[in-house]
Amino acid sequence: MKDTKIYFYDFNAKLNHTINNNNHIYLSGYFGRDIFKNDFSEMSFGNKTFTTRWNHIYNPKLFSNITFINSNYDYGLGTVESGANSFEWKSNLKDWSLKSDFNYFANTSNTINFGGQTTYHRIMPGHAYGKGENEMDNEIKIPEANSLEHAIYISNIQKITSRLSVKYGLRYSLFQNIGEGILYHYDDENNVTGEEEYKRGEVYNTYHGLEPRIGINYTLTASTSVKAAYSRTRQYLHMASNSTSSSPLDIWLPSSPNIKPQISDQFSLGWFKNFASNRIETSIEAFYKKMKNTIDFKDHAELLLNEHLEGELRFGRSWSYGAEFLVKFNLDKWNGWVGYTWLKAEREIIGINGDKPYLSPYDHTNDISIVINRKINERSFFAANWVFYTGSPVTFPVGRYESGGVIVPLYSERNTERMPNYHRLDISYTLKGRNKKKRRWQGEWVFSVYNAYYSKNAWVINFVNDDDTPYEMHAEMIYLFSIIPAITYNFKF
Amino acid sequence: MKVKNAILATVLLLLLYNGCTERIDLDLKNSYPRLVVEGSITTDTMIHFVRLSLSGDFFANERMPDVMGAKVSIFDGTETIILKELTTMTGYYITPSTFYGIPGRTYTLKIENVDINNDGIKESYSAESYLNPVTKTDSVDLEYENNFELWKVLLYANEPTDTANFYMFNLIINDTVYTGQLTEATIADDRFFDGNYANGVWVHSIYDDDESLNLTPGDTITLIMSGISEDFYNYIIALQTETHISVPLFSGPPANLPGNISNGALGFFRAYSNSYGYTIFTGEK
Repeated sequence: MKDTKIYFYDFNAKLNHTINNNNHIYLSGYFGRDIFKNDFSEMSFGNKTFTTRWNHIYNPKLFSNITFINSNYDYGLGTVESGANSFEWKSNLKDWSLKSDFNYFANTSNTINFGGQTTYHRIMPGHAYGKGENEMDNEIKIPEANSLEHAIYISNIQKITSRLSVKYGLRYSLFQNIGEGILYHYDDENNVTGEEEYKRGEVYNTYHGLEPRIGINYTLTASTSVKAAYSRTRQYLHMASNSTSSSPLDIWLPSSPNIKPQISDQFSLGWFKNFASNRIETSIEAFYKKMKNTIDFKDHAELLLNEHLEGELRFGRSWSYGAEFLVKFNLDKWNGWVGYTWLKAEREIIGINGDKPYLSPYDHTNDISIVINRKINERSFFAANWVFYTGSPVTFPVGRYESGGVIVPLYSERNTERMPNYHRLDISYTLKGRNKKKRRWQGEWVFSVYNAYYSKNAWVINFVNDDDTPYEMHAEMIYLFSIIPAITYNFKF
Repeated sequence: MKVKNAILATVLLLLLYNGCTERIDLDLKNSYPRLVVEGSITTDTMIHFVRLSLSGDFFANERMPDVMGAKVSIFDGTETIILKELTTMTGYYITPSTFYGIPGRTYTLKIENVDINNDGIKESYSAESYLNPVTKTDSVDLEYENNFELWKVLLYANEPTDTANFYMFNLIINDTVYTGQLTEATIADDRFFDGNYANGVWVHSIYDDDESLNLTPGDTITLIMSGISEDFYNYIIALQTETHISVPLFSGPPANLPGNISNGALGFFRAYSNSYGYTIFTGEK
């Protein structure tokens, strides 16, 4: 790391106001930002969320929550100095949501939940502009995408016998692409054949459908139960991620006449058992999920500031299955959990990998996470968490050849190789301030070390050619974080 | 797209500075050797060659083995010529020096008498390429670009509607090829001209700070405009993409180049027409 400054901060604020016994208002705000900066450039990403919730009790059996949420995720990249070649690039995803949720305790064996919600999504995929002399002809702006997502739902938790309970529900969702926006038309070969502009507020495409769900819970003994569930979900926003690595700079795409919503059906089966008078909880859950209208990028896709990004996508189906093992413990001085997931995730996309199935970038075969908190005394505790997962499937060269005067990699089929495994340990020690009655605020110091044993987790692997030795290639990895010690002071008032 | 290039350059620098870069030992799987074909037919009267080599392990770190003893022929729709194998440069098969390609013809390359998979049975490979015509270059000019410290090579030419729709541009400075690798060539499709007169279109660049070049007044700069096939155009884009450093988000998933040789061989056989334009470097900015 050469003269790089990394800083991140977050800010949380919560305000509760009781109007009367039946009406409560909750306000909360979150603001967080991570910045990487060196002499030459700056990259930052952050999230702002503002939530207002009104809780209203109609009678002892019925209450409601009306929530308004505004969130804004953005990232930017740019040069620090304002030279002739300086530029700035920004992208953001803004959401405004209004939700109303009702809970109705009909009787001892039926708890009904119903409500509705509307969200306005506004996505600015990318706007880059020069800040130097030629700023006018150096601007690229990918048109913003606006959409609305609405849903109404009802569900019931029904206790059929003292051992058997069933949760079932139905959700209806409706998605609309609205202006201001541009819709590009593509032919069968994904070439742009035309475009249409839509005025602000004009609805130009609609998708809708039902999302049923059912779950059955059966208690075998006082400490053992089994569960089976099925649910269908429709996903209207898609994250277009490059399959090599995930990054904060992902591109979000709404469904559109060119991208159908992703529909997934999930089945799960679980077994739960508690020990030591419920201080140790264990569970095993197996799941199978199948999805329609999965997206991926075609070979040699052009992703950078491409307004015809939809033309770079290919569509197909995907499926995944796995099992999750979890042990949670809550003892006098120790608490935490150990989780292990085994997963297989594959997809089959027309036009990719010769139309044959291949591993999804999310196929992390083994995923382990261990979280341990050790209470030292009333004021302080020690915490550690360790994560491990199998490296993501990637496409690596399996050979080389010479063409056009350069060394060309000969690749495996899509995603048949793996990135190195990822693992990391974070530790922290928290010391709370003394409880002084006069003090209106409470503070605590947190001393933490991120990536405590300096695990170099590859973010990207490149194959590079040495300038002096034309036939020599070697692999080079870029890893983003080394050991990061930090001291944080949190306070509440 | 200047902004795109600036962004790519910045992201690369940012990653190299912000992230830590380190060499790693990576165990890559190996693949069986395949035949690699590199060959061009142009409208220039000269020796044309086809190079045959093998693919190898990615970390082989040496020149790839040559393929010798092959029977290499080119058929232009009317006659077949047999290429002569060079003994001085193994793996190279050449045409007579009087050979030239004719626009409008389809050239078929045939490679026989090779046993790449060593099973004792000879294999044969072939490839086809249609030779597109190209428009005449009217003139070439240079213009200094302050922001990027480079000389823009500008093209003046008429684009008749009946010529090729895909172009490749290369530079020769005095007698030396400046863009010897396909990664250094620039390419354009007909949107670039839009059916109009190309009135000083920026088609190539010469970097001012290129010390190995040491451009001096009086130097001759030759621009070769080639009318290429759409398949070759796509091959160049893929080759340029796959040999650059990849950056998450900006680079799509890696994939093999779309070659045009049959029977699982790699590489590309291309026929194209050349049009030449010259200018003298004066050094006036």
